[in-house]
Amino acid sequence: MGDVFNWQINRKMPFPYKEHRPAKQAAWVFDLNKCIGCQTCTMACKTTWTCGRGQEQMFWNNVETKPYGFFPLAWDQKLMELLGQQTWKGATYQGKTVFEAGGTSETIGGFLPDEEDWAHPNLGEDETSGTATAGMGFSLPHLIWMYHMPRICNHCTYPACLAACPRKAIYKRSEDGIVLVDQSRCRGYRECMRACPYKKIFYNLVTKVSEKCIGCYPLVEEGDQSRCSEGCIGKIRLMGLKVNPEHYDPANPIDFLVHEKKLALPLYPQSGTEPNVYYIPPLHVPLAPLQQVFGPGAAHAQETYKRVREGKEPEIQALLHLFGCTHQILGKFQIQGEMAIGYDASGKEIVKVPLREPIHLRKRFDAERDVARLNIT
Amino acid sequence: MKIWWKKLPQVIILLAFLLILPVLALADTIVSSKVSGDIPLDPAWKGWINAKPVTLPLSPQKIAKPYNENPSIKQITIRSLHNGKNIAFALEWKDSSKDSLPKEVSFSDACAIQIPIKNDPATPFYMGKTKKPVILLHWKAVWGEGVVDVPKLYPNVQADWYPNGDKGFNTAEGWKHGKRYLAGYAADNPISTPTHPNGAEELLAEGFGTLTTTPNQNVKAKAVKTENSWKVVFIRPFKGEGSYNPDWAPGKTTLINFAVWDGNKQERGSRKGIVKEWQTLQIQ
Repeated sequence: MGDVFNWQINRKMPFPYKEHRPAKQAAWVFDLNKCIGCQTCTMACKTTWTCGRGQEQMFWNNVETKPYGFFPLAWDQKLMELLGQQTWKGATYQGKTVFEAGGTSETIGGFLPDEEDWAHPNLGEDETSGTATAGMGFSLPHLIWMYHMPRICNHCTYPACLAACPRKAIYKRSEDGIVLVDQSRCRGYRECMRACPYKKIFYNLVTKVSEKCIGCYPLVEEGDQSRCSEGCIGKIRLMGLKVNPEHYDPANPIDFLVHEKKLALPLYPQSGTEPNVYYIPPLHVPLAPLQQVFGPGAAHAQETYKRVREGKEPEIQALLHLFGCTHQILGKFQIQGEMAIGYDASGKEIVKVPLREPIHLRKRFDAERDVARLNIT
Repeated sequence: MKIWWKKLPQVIILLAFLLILPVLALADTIVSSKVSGDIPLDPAWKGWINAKPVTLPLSPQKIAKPYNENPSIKQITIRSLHNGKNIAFALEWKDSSKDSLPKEVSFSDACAIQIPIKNDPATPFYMGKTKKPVILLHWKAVWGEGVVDVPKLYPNVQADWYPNGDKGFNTAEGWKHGKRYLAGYAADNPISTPTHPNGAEELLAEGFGTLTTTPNQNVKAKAVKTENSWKVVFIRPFKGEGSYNPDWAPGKTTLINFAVWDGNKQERGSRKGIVKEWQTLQIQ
């Protein structure tokens, strides 16, 4: 095993392949302040990709409620136990990654979930962290809390699944960093399923090989966002192509939110796989659980989001308005006065939205229909 | 007159050694005895009485990670016969659970025979290496179960609709019709075909991770499960049609090795019990 640099844990770590980043990396930002757990993304993905025989139990996209929801059961609790003590010294992770938690007979620390762990994807949905007691009032963060966490494959820079496969049946595309299971090469060992810290590899019961989120690569090749991103009715998702963190482009939507403003954070960065789905942490949840999930950047991200709501971050505000406004991948974005503008990879303008939704007032009485209006805005 | 009896102890020792020598040679040698006529693909065939069984211990696999520090199956008994045209192997081992329908996190019982393409002891017994290929004859219990459709695994599963699913999925024809959403099958993965009529697979390898199913398949296998054991019979022609063939024939000796997986203990891939060194196969 050689050593590769992982920017999310700010140090080197072992990995069986050479350090390499694709020129462009498929990446997503999910705003957890807006997710209502409607599961439209889940249905979009399932209807498109996993409605075949043998795929019944697969949810390449799932939405679980935190703190008591998981799919598969307790996947992250087991990951926490596997990694042991997870301390940070500033931005540098001091504990073990999965690549350092294998012990003597494994290259990667992992586990195969039990069969029944896959059977209840809605367990804990909408469950709060505690029960409301008389006299409780509103506060920020909430005294009892829950939030929805939509999850897909993170198309990691250092995928544990790819590292675990003894046959090199998993590969990472050089054009967009999407990680795929080669359906002709897999023999169903499920070492990938054991190794993935996020448990986003699934087994097809009839074809007897493993399957996973394909990042909607046929859409990406056409310049479009993934089905789950496009289908989100709450407009919480943005899919883009981020570039190398060392020389990121602040006009690139994903780079801007992840590297420039540090508003969007990776999921369990301590896993060491450098996941590429980034979350804007919810404001109403206390800091401690968020720090465990998103790392030491959680406090800064919450503060930054508050500043957006106070009108102090117009660029972020503009970009957030562009979420869910186009099916195309935005290569660049810009704020121009009161307008947010999105451009495709070639620089062509594809969408323009106002920062403030215009309000039109209509007359109280509709003379044409001879009736009073019930609603005038 | 020579006092010949003074040399007697040396003579006795020499004679004893000469007598033991063939026995020593046979201890780790698997002899494939010649029989006449067809060898049926039947583990219960009475003709197996003509084969001398050799029992080999199975060792942990600690050469390539992930290791198997404690393999479930401890020993395997091998028998071999041939009729000049085809060679047959009967592998038998104790296993009290039948794992032939791999589900979400379970695996199929399996076994394999490994023979180097060239009878060269420098070929690593752990899957060969570059320029020193090995041939694998591989059996999996699941390949004897016919078309494995979801209700066979989970009888109470409910689902409303599948695209192109109107022909069902319990026949090969149904799978062909619904191929669009059976990605492994559509990609011509040999693991993903609806049926495995040969019951076994022939593969080549040149080191870890290089295992490849060969385009021409000449091996067949059939297995029988008793309450406590598996018995698997493999039959393959010495010279397979359009195949990569080991350097073996009647009258020749070659190297051979074996591996076993207990699906119940999540054994698969490198997590196997192996015979720790090349064994000798003497084809009569």
